[in-house]
Amino acid sequence: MNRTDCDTFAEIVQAVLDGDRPRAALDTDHAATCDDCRAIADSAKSLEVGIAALARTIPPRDFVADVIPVVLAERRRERFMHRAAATAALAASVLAAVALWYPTRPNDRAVTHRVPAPEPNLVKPPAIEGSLREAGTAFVSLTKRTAIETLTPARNLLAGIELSDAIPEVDPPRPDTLPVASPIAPIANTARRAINLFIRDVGGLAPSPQRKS
Amino acid sequence: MAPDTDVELVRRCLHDDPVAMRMLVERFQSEVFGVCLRILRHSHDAEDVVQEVFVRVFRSLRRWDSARQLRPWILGIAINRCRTALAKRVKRPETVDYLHETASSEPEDDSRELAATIRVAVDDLRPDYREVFVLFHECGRSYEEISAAIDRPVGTIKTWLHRARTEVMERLRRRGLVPADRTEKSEDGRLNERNEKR
Repeated sequence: MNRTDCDTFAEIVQAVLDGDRPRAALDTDHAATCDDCRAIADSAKSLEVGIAALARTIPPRDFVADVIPVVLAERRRERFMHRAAATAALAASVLAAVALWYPTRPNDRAVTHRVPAPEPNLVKPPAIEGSLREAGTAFVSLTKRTAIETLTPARNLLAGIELSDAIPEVDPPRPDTLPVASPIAPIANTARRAINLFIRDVGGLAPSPQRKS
Repeated sequence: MAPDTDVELVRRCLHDDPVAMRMLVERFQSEVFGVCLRILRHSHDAEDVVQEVFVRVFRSLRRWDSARQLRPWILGIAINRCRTALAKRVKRPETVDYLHETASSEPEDDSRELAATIRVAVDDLRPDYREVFVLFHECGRSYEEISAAIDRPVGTIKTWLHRARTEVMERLRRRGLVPADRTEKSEDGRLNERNEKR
């Protein structure tokens, strides 16, 4: 008995268990003389008998009723998702195409350059300098008119005594300055008027033609 | 009309033909359930996994290569699902439940005891050895089909099956279920040899 025989016998055992060789192949001369191999052969026979006696497993229920609805529902869901994804992709493509095409349209570009967008109707706040100038002009005009209206009768009164030069001419007011009328002008006018009346009453002087205002 | 080939059956399933889908499940459910039950050792878990397996089969049917056989492909999915279920079950107390197991033919008493011992021995095997043993001896799959199902070379499958058988036979010897006359003779012979050596 040598190791080679035992290895060969082991292969025979496997072949028998594989179903490639009949069970009788285990009854070899080597098995009759080698205790180890004989024990293996006996075990193999028992194993073969036991495997044949193994109960077949039978499914406890029909899995079709459980599986098919689940699979079909999953397929429907899958199809819906694919369609939704395709629709979203299409919409995104269209949007992207429009976004790329819109700014490059020649008409849009011409229109954009020719017709500027209307400016908002803004109300500018009034400038302080302009307001002051305007107020000054109005004040000077009013003052001038008042001065003229005041001085004209006095001029008429003093025409006979030729005191017209005594009344200083009022310089035309500059728009940026206040009127330059003398603050003593009314007093001077009154004084002149009084003198004129006195001269007329005394009569020492030739009367001058008086204009009626 | 029943499709003759797996390719035709799959083609119809891909068109959502309920009849074809039913046929596919009916064609493979026993085998898938057997594998799941033997690997998981729990009938309720096996039922859940079988359902999950078929859902995955239909989900992945478009990826099936028609040049390959359909059965090993489905069994491969079943084994993968079983491995996942076992991984999830690590902390859960394991229970063995073969309530739904029925025998196709009533075996003799010795054979029944032998079968029960083999069943326990197989359950104690390493998971990959157990998968190979179940696929070969209980599902009747060839080395090539098992190799395709669990994605290992045929040589590896042969080695694993040889080791699985050796462990099971060792269990049978320890339990005294090997024919008594020859075993006792051999054990006596061994004892005599040892005594003689001493």
